[in-house]
Amino acid sequence: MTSGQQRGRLGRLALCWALLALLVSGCAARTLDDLSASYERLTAEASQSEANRRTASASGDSMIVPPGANLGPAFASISREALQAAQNVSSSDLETRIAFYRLAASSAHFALVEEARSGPGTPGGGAAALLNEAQSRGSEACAQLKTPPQRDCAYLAVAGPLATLAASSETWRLLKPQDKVTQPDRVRAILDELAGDADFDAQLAGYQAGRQKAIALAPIGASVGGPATAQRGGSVMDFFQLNDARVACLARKRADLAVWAANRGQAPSRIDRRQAGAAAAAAEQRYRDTYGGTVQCGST
Amino acid sequence: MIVTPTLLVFGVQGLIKLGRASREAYEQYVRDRPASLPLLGTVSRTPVEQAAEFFRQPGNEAWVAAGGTFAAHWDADANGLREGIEHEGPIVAAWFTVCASAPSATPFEPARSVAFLVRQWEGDGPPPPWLRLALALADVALDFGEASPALLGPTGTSQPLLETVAALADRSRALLPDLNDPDQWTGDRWIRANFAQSLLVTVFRAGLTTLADNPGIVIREQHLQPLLAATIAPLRDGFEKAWANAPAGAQLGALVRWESIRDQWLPAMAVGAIRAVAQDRGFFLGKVVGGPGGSNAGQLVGALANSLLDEAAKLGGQDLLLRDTWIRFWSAAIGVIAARPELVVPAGTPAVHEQILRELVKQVAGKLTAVPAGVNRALLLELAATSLEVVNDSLPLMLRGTGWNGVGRDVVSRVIEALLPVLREGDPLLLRRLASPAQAVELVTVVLGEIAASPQLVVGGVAGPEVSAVVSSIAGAMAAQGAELLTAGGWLAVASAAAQAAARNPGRLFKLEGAAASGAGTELVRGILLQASELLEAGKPPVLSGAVLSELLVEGLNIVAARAATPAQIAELVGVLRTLAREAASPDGLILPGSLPPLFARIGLQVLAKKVPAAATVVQLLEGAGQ
Repeated sequence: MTSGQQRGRLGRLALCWALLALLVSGCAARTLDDLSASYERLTAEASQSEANRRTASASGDSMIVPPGANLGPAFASISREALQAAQNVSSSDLETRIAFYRLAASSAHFALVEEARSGPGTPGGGAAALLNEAQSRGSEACAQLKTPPQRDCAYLAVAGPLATLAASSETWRLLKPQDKVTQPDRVRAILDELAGDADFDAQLAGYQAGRQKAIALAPIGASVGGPATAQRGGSVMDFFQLNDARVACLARKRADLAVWAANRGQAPSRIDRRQAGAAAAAAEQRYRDTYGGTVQCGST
Repeated sequence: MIVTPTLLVFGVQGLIKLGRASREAYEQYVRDRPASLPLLGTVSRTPVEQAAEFFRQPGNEAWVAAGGTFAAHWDADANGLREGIEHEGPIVAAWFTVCASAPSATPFEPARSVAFLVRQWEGDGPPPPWLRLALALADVALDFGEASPALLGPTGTSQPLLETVAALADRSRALLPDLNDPDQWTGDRWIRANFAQSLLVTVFRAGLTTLADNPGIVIREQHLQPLLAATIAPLRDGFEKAWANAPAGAQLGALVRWESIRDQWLPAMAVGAIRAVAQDRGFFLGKVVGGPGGSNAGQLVGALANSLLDEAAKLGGQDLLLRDTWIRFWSAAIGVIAARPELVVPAGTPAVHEQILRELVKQVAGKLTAVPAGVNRALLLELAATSLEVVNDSLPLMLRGTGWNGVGRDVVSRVIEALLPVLREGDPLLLRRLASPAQAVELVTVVLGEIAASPQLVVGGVAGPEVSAVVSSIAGAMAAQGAELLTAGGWLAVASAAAQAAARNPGRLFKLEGAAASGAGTELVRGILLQASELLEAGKPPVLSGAVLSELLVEGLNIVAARAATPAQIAELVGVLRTLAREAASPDGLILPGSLPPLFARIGLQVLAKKVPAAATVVQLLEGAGQ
């Protein structure tokens, strides 16, 4: 081998190492763009799965809705990667870091809801831990900015209680007790799982507290600027208004379930019907005070 | 914008130049672009829960407050339904009653209330088939409610339409499965039932659109029902057939394809059918065509729809222009069937009629398919539709009867044949002479209007060869040398004169290509145009052009229509015109260009009468004309 050939070989080797280094670094931390795309694809699948569940629920053949698609582990994986990527972002670029935390929290939300539906996807129920970390680190970063990004910080303020409410209601929100009960044991089991009054009131209070912080960041009715949206085509305000309405509907659903169960001797012992009704009325009143108009649960 | 490699490179280079700023902009874009944030899930509501929600709303509390009608069901402290009693039946029924009798009802509110009522069942298991159809129709109606409130309501103009659709759904088991039997709407059968339902909904929407756009239209259910049933049935049958024949796994493809045909064709077909009913209700009241045992309106329209959809299935989805023109043809054909069925279907049984209508569509489609690539098929089809309408409008009323059996389809065929040669790709000369395709339609209208009014030309169930001869002669002349010296309007005037002359002298002035002689009219037109062209080429002032040329052609046609002329005499007439035109083209000539047409008319007749020799000088010709 001549020295020229040797130099050429060494040069090619160096190039290979450089390419390998690039690939490795690319794998180590996925970009915000890349992770966001994966997350959006998963949420689209989750929406379809939810629509299927609702259709199955509406068929009337069964009171119990079937499980959704098993997307929890995939959401949890994105949450984990987003948290890792946030750590790699320069401390001078807090906006991007916050965006990663938002992504980590919202992914953990879906993972948590699926765990509530079908059991933890990973040992130890990792979604809650991911959510807590994303929310606390994200809120910390938001607090360091004079003008924090409204959408992301408003969501992070409410992410924890929102996910808790979603998870705790997951097993009963589509429950449709009717006279022809086909699976009474399963219905009873679900009713027994309903959070007690103190727990549920605490969840509502937690949501409300987070909601107050969010309003401070993205005042209702104020221009939030940019393409920040809750759903495509919506605004931050739409996001909160819709969630506020659904919180009220959840509370009302729970109170109605309590009445139904009581009338059939299936009342969960931990639920006081009047207290549940009062919680629902309070949630409805808060909605009216904030937005005007009434909550229409049939259409939410 | 089409992104080319060059543009892409340019863009990347531009961004590199911007450096950090571009990177920050990109990061901000990624950060701030829309993101899906989690929402709480929706809740399911039973009718009881929804009823309770209704009575809890501000303004509705009085119903459940102390002393209220439903107070017994309400627990004021819990602001909800009372514990320990049954609410399922009473509270829901009460809720429906309250909603239906809302005092604030607007003129179209009843429809909305009904929709509201039935919609409540949505959350309580699958609604029964009848309710699904009602929901779907109500949805359509409510779309129109805001914009056209007069349409809806018990006395609205849409009532007969709704009654028709309801009757079709309820009475015609052949169209829809049993609306009261949910088993008929499950499994694989559901897809087929749903398709049939969608046909009714589509027709309803199309009907409302027609009524909203034409407030003057009056329709009755008994007129409309057979017609719409006949329009829908072929689509349903086509889908069923495709579904049954599709191999396993390909049935979804059949559904998609027929849904596409439904969406693209049915609305316009329904509009055409409703308009036909509005124009000639008498026909749809059970009139039978072809004597005892003949067809009724529904059978005829059904046969036509069948044929049309056969063609629709062959058309590509992109051929929108041709599709729209086929629909035009459909409307024209229905209009003729309603007004004068004997023009399209002669005496016979339903089977014979169906065969004839199939042949009509097949014949037209066949001619369109056979035309060379590039020929404007949509225009040809438009001309075919126009031909049907013109024949219908122009035939003498007193001659209605068996003498006209089937002449319409014959005329259509002849018009297409006659125009095909001048619409070829790369040399659409006919269109070049006319300002627009619409003027081509006008040309056919003018010519056929004159010819159809002449009983001698259209007899015995067929259009005489004169139809093709005149159309092709005029079209041919328009493509001939010198034709460019005439305006589009001028050509229409000439076409009218030619048709009038032909109608007065059947079989004499215009003959089909291939005949021993092409006819005096054809020869004279060609000769005059050639003179105009030669004059121009000789560097003379263009005295034979524009309005003068148009009038000369009209006068020439009048001459040969008034007096028989041999080919030699036609040549003499052309020679006379040459003499006169050259004089008019001379700056100090004895003839003014504008006076050429009347001079030619007078002198031409003198020459044919042999009172003036064709070879005479200008002065002799003028003296012969008494100038």
